[in-house]
Amino acid sequence: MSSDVLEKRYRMLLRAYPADYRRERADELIDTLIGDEPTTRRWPSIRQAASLIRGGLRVHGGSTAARPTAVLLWQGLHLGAMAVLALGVLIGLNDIVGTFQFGVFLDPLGVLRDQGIHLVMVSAALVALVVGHDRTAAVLVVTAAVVPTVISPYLFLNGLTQWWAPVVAAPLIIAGLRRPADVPPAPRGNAILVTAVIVALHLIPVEGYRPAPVSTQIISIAMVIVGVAVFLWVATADQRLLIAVAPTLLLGTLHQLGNAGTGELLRRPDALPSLVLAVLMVAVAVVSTRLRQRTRA
Amino acid sequence: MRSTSRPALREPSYFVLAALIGGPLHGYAVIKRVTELSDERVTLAAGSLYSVIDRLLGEGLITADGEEIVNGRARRYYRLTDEGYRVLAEEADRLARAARVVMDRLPHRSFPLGSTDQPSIVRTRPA
Repeated sequence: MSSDVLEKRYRMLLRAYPADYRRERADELIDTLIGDEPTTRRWPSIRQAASLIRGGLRVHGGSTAARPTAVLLWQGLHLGAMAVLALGVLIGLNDIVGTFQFGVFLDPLGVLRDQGIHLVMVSAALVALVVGHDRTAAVLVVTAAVVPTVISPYLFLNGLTQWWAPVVAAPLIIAGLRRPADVPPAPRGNAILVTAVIVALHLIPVEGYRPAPVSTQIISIAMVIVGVAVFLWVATADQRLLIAVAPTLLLGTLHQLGNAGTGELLRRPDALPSLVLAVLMVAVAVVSTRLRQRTRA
Repeated sequence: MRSTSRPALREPSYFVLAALIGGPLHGYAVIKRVTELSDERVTLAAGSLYSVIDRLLGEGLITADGEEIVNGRARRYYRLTDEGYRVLAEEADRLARAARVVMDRLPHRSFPLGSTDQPSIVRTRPA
């Protein structure tokens, strides 16, 4: 009985693997996990659970593909475009809500013109990308970078972060149209999950590093440490995340470039330090994947 | 100085290949055998084992060798390929030569049995 419960829980954990891999290997993995020995255990050990999750992440990251580096780069580009658009939508939504909260009810049409059109178009590009209509997404993202700015230059003139989202995503999506036929697209559920992880990383309040009460700073530092540790744990197994997070880290630098001097660029953790980190992450992902290919098994 | 020889096997891969010398084994048996051969130093969790198996299958060093149904589940066996035997033998030879470089030069010292200072021959001896 406890073996049935344990098997059920292992099968839950096996959902970390892609569906194709599960179809091929789930029974075999369960057989290995349960082993020959009678057990009264009802819960998987933490070690086995962590190993299965990382195993699943590695397969998602292309470890079993014929060309792991190609999977890493092409799917990384796609996920990067999704993440940057999702972040743009989130920031845009937050700004619109904030605008209304601060009492701009007198001119709702103005808010819609200045920010709403951009938000709708970026959202549309994101949806097209999520459902796999890459060509439509390419058209929509270029349109989102140009048309709302022609209608109202508000976001552009204020150098707001969300304005940069379609600008950064457009080359990624257009480049992604040339994905080789032997590199599969990232599965939709997995792509949404990866995007959520990257967006969650950006929700960590790094602002607490700036002058603030000590308690706020401590909470902020703890959240950064935990957030980065979790992200690295995931991203060292599925290195597409290292590629995908890079364009989102670029947004802060571009925003600061338009709004502040070089001093601020260096001081803010979401500006130049993030950009340096982004470049390093891409380099680490590509180099380590290539090295792994060269290393015997 | 850069070595021109082929890259070394990683330790888990080395022990998985070594576990299969005696004949085909299924996943759980491979884990047990690896633990035994490495003096409990390499204990593979299932997720890690299958990452290693996937790499070894991809490189043609092992191959699937039949299935049986146990408790209603497919149990797959793996065996070494000829290339797997060759690579494992090469690696064992490389490790043995590397160990000799040190062992031949170490001053002869007597270590009490069970002493923690005793150099472990088992760790460097190919399985």
